[in-house]
Amino acid sequence: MFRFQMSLLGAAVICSAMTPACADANDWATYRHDPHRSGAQRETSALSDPASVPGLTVRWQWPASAAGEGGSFYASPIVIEDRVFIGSNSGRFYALDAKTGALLWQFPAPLQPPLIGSCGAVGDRQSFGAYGVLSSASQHGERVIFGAPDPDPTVDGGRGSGRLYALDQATGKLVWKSDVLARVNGCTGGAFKEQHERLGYSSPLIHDGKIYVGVHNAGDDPIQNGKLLAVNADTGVLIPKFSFLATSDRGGGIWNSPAADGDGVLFTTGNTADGVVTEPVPNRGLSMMRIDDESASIRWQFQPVPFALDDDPDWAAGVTLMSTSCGKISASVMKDGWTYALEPRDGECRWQFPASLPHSAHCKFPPMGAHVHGDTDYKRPGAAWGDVLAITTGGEALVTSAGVSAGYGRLHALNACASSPSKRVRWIADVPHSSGGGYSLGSPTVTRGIFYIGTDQGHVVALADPSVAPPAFARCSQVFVPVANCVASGYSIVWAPAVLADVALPDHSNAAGLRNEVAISDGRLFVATTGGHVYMLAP
Amino acid sequence: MKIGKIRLHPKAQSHAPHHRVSALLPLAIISWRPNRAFADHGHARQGIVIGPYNQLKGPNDALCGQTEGLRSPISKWSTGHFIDRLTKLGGPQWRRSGWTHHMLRVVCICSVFIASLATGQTTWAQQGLQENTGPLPPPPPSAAPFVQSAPFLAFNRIEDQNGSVRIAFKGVGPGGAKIELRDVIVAPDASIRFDPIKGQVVIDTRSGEGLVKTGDLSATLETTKVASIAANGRIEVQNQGDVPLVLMIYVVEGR
Repeated sequence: MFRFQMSLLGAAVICSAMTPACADANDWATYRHDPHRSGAQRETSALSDPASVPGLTVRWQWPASAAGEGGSFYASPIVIEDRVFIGSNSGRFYALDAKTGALLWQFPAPLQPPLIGSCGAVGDRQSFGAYGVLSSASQHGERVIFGAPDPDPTVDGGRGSGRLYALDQATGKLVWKSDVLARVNGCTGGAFKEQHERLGYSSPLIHDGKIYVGVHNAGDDPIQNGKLLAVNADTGVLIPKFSFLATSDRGGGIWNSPAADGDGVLFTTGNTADGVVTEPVPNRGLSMMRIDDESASIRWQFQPVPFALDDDPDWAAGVTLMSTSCGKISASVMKDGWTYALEPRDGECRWQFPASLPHSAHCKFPPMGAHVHGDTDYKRPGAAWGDVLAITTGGEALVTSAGVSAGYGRLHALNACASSPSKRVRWIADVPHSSGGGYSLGSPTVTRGIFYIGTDQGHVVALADPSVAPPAFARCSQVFVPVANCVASGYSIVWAPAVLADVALPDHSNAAGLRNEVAISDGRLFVATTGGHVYMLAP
Repeated sequence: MKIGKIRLHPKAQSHAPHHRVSALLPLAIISWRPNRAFADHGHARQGIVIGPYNQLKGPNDALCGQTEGLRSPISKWSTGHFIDRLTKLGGPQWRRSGWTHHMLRVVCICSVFIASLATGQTTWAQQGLQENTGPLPPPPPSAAPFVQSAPFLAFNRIEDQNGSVRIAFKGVGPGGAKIELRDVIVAPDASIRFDPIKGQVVIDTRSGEGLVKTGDLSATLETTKVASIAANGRIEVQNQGDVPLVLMIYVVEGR
C-alpha cells in the first residue's frame, strides 16, 4: 500500500509539474497541440535532438498514388495513439495508421455522399457550403470531433449548413452530429437577406465538457455576424445559454480556433466594416477577447484597430497562450502584420511588434492614424516555446514603404519577456523553399527549441534556436537595414538560425495552406498538402 | 501517459458530511475524473509509468487502463474513493485513534499535495528559464553577416549620424514636378540633420515619436500628424522615443 501511495503522490507531483501536457503527452490531439494552442510538443524525441534532425526523411505517404486524395488538405493531421486523423476539402475525413500510413477508415463511407453542401463548387474553400473539412479535428475521449457542412437535403435544402461531427476513433462510426451551428440558407453572393455562415477554419476546442467552435463567413460575401458557440461534448446538443455574438448586425467573424486556460475562452475576431457603413453597436470585431466559458459574458476585449481604420485586418490567427518566465501571455498577429502580446487576465497590452505607438496609446491605433490596416496576409498563429514566440509577422520593416511584405517567407522569433522593444527580436529566418509571397509559410510548430514549418513549395524545414544549435549568420532585426548600419539605426543585430533540415515532399505541392501545421508526435512529423497527400517524416 | 484530470474545486466543503475531511481542506483536490485511463500500459515512452498497484492487478503490475473493460475499475473511482485514498496516504505514523490526529494527517497530506501543485505550476511557469529561452547573447562583431537574401532597397547610413535613409521611389509628377519618397530611420534618442532639400517636404510619421525643426520652427512628429516644410530649409529630426523613429519623407520639387 505504501508503494501505491508513493506512486500516486509521485504521479500527482509530476503531473502537476507538466499540467498542460499531462493529458496529451506525445499525442498531437488538436490543432496547435493543446487548448493553449501553443504549437509545442514538450516531449523529448529525436526531433528535439539537433544531431538527429538532419536525417529527417519522408517515411510514408498517403495515398500512395501521385494523384492524392482527390481534394486538398488545408487542415492538419492530429495524432492520437498511433492513429492520424485529418479531413479534406473533398468532404471526407480519414483515419490512418501512424506507423505505416495505411488507411484505417474514412467518413462518410466510400459510397456515401461527402460532407459537401450544394452551395458552391465541390471543394471550393471559398464556397458558402461546399468547402468540406478545412480545419483540424480535436480529440474528446475516444472520439474525434471536427466541423463540416451537412449535405442532408432536409437541412436547409442541403446547401451546406455547418455542424460538428463526432466519430468513434477506432471505427469511424458516427457518434453524433451536433445541432446546426452555421447556417446556409441561400447561395446568392452579396445577399444580405441570406445567411452564409461557416465553420470552415475554426477547429473545435474541447474544454470542461463542452465543445466550442467559431463561426465565420465565406470571402466576406457578405460578412456574417461572428459567433462562438458551444455544444455538449457528449451529445452535440447546442448549449443555448452560451452564445457569443460579435455584433448586433454583421461582422466579427471567428476565423480561428478558440483557446482555453481553465478560466474562460480566448479567441480573436474579424472585420466589421466590409459593406457596413456605420459601426455596429456593440462592435466586437477586430478584437482579441476572453469570455466566460459558462455564460459567454465578456471578460475583456482588446481592439487595437478602430472601425475608422478597418480595411479588413482581421485576426485570422488565433490566440497563442504562452507560459513564460514573465508570466502568462496571450499573443497573436493581425492580418496587417502587427503582433500583440496581452496580459491574459485583463487584456492589457504588454507589447506590440513592431512597436509603433507611444506607451500611452496602450497599443491602440488612433482613429486618425497614418497606417493602412488591410488584409496583407498575416494569418497564421505562432508557436510558443518558453519565452519565445515564433510567428510570421510584419517585422520592424512593416512601417516602411513597401513594408507590408517584409515578413513574407520569414519566421520571426520574438523574446516575449524582453525588457525593451529593441530586444524583442531573437532571430529571423528566411525560410528556404518558400516563394516569399503572403501565403508562403504554414504555422510553425516547435519541440524543445527546434521549429518545424511547411512551405508553399512543398518543403518541411527545421530551424534550430541558437540556444540549441549554432546559428548560421548575424543580421539586423530590421530586414532592410544592413548589419553595418543596424545599431546606428536603433535596431539590434540578431541571429539567423541554422537550418537543420529542408525536406522536399514528393508531391511538390503546397504545405502552407491556411491551417497547415507540422504535427509532432512520438518522434515523427505529420504534414498534409494541398496536393492531397499526408506524409510522415522521421529522422 | 493519460491520467485523470485533477481540478481544484472551491466547493470542497460539500463533501464533508460523507468524508469528514473538508473543514480543514482549504484547497482539496476533489474532482477526480478519469478521462481515458489512469495510465497507458506500455507507454513508458510518454514519460511516466505508474508504479505497482497491488489491489487492481496484483504485485508489480503497472497500473493500466487501455480499454474500456480494463478501465472500468478505475473509472468507478468516485470522489469519495479518491478522498479515502488521500486520507490513507503516507506521512507520520499517527496513532489511529482520535479525530484530531485524523485531521492532522489529512492536513499534512493535503499540504504536501498543494505544495506539489504549487511547485509544479511554478516549474511550468518557469519553463522558459529551464529551457534557456531567455535572451540570447548578441552576435559578436566577428559573426558572419547574413547574405542569403540581401536587403531589398537597403538603407544607407546618413553619414556618421545615427540614422539611415533609402530612396523608395523617384518619379515625375503632374507638371513635371520631381517626386521622391525617402524612408528615414532615426535611432532612439538621436538627432539627424539633412542638408537643405530643394523641394517641398512632407513628413509622414510611420512609427515612434519625435520633433522636426527647421530654422526657428518646430513640429512634433507622431503617427496622427503630417508635417510640411518649405523648400531649401535645413531640417533636423529628433527621436524622442525609445523605438526607432520611422518617417516617410515626400519631396516635391517643382520645375
